[in-house]
Amino acid sequence: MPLPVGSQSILSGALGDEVLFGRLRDGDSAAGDELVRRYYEPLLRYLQRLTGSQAGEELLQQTWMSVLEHAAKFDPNLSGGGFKSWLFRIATNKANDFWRSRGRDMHAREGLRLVTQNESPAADQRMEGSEQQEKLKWAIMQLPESQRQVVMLRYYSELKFGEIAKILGCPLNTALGRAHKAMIKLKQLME
Amino acid sequence: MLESLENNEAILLMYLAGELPAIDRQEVDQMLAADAGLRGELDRLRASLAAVEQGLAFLDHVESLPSADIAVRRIGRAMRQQQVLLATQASRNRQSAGHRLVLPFWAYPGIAAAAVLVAFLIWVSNYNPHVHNSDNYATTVPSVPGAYDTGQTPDTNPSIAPNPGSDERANLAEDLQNSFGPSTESDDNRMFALRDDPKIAVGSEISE
Repeated sequence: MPLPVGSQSILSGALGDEVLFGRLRDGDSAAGDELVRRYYEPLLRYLQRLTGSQAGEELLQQTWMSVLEHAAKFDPNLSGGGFKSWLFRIATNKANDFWRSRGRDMHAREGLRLVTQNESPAADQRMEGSEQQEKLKWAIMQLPESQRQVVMLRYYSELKFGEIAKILGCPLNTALGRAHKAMIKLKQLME
Repeated sequence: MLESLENNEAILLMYLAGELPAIDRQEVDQMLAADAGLRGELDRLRASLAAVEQGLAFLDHVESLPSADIAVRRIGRAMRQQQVLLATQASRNRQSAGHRLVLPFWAYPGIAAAAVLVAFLIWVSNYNPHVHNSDNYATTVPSVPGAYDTGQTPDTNPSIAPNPGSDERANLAEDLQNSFGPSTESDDNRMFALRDDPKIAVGSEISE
């Protein structure tokens, strides 16, 4: 006897991403809600760290719209890493589109201004949170976009480096090289 | 897998991430046991990784996110609207496809061949080698319909070439005969009709 739609959410936590996505593709909106909830924090944090802006929520919604739009193209057998890998690939593309639309040079100028100051952001630039918080955010934005993507993708998606390399469209050694440089540089900037 | 990793940094990163196969991991363990420099590099990488993870965890802790429930409801609503839109578009695409005549792939060359055949048959049915004229003796229908019905003559309209006289027409018939061989009776009749038809000026041109 099938359960009412609302009660399925109790069991959704036990269902895999691919099962939920299959139901979403078949029109089960509750399955979609569960997927959104499951990936809400890691996906939003990832987008915020990538873009360094408040556009994370908008990009998050765009990501899920794109998931629906391209639902027919997803094949768990072909997509290494499964649904999560595919989801973060879409999110990464949305972040790249955001960069293109906002202009990389604008951010480069902002980064250059902070670098030439050779110090962490001044006290009058604190918005909320501690100085350490601002310093960390500043350090993250000092990374080249390619390095930032690898580190953030690794931390928030917990995907393997091989899957990350596929998402970013680069060889495994390239992804590992970027991650290595990024971590060394971040540690230096954070100190 | 170790062979595919191009330097120690890549190997150590995969080692720290726990993504090396068991046999490769054992090999790296042996390398580390034998190389103090490599062990130092591993320690630095481990410290960097820990610092990054600690920093991001701190940021995530102090930076609050909007309520997940509200976000899920908002995104869920947008997704449902999107699903309806996509379903409507798919339905429209199916309807338009149903109204379109879809022919099998082999029909198109067949249609093209049939068109060529019909054109050829029309050309063959209209082709009469005895009517064909050389450039010098073009039998032209006036490009201006009814030009000869207007009463215009070369004297009144210089653009109209003078009609060749009867002698010239006879010469024309002879030349045609020489060009295309002896004419048949029907050819003769047709030629005489042309010769005597005042509306047709042999060799004349109407300038446009």
